Amino acid sequence: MIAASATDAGRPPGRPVPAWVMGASAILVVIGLADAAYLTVTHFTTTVHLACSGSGTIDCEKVTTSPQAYILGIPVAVLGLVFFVVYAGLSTPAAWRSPEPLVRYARLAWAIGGVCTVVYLIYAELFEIDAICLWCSLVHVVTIALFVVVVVGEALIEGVSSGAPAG
Amino acid sequence: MANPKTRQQRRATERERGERLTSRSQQPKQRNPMLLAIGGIVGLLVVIAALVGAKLLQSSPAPAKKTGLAPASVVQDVSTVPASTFDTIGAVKGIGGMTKIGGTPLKEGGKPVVLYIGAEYCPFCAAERWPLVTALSRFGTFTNLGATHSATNDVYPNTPTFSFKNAKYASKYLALQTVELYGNRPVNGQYPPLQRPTAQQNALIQKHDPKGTIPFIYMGNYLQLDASYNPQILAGMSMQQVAHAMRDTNTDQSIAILGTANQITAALCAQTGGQPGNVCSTPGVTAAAAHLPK
Repeated sequence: MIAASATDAGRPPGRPVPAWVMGASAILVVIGLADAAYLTVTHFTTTVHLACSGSGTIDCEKVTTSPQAYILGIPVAVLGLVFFVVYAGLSTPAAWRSPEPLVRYARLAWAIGGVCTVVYLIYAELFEIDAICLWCSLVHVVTIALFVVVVVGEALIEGVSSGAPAG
Repeated sequence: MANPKTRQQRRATERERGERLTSRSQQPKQRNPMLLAIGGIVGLLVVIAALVGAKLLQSSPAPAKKTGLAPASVVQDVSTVPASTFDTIGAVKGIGGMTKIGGTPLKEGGKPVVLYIGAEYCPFCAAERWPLVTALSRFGTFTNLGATHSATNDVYPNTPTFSFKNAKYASKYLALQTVELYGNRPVNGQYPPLQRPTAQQNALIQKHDPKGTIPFIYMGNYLQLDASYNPQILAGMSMQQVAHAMRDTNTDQSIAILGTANQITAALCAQTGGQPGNVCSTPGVTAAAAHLPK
């Protein structure tokens, strides 16, 4: 279903965006923000600890206290929080409907940058740290799902806008 | 009968058709955005599946898991020092530095808490872990003790030692808590953080040593800050050599490590109410107990 078009009376002008694209991206961003905020809080406080197994393959503490938990000296938890805050801005209905190519490319670039970072972090967990952090994995899943929503959403909008077949 | 086209008319018609075909083929091919999107998603999933697959293939033999653990022979040597060897060393003057502290001793599960705070880069922690592991092995059993060494660019570089990072300790008398704050290999000029103290552990540090000295070893009514002996005596030795030397009462390593271990054991016996009796009532421990700070 296409939620909006410039000619529909009473509807915001802009690109026609499927409602599910806006809804799914909003839900995923909220989940990602909450998870990243939790990881950031546990990184900086000693009173809150990750609810997670502490031994074996699933070992959140081992992952979050590893050298790989920092990129350029910045905690990955903080980078994740910043990532989702920016994503929240790029995933508002207004941003989705915006005809500005800059917004569209920024969202695509952010989605691609996100999954590239996720691939690196999965590699680090599997091959360098030798442990999996469940809360980090949730962030990875959300980031990949957001990537899917963004690229499929853009493809659908592009297909409708240009009149090309969407499938 | 249809009027036949002249040759000129036919040529013109063919030219027009050719131009139409040419102009159609010159139009840029329109990419299907959905195919691009699906291609990107499939590519991403393939990369992730390849990573997971490679990890599964790599870990199927699974012998590398033991890397970083202390050699079994070293753990065996340290945890099976004969009581007679401890007794021969007894109380040693000039080592230690333990202080008596006030407050209600911390308990966990009804057992007195021993809290070690240190770091893998720290040479004084490296030295102190030897007598601490030796003494604690008289009250319980370690598993997963790591093998490491102090930083290469600090004083007493490369001091061989255990790591408590992934170690487990089981005892019916004591509850051991360990925190290795940092690793021993700098990353971007800083030692990487390994573990963080809990709020309760931080409160103990703030109460008894706000300066944050490491090693910090809390034993109820007793506190050991810094190393009990000079790490220099372990210089250039392997873990096996240290473990072997400490069982020979004629060596400096034995006097320093077992002397300190007796002192720690005496402090721990004060927390456990003299249990286990076959440890706490030995001549070496009672001699060391007489030298505990009052």
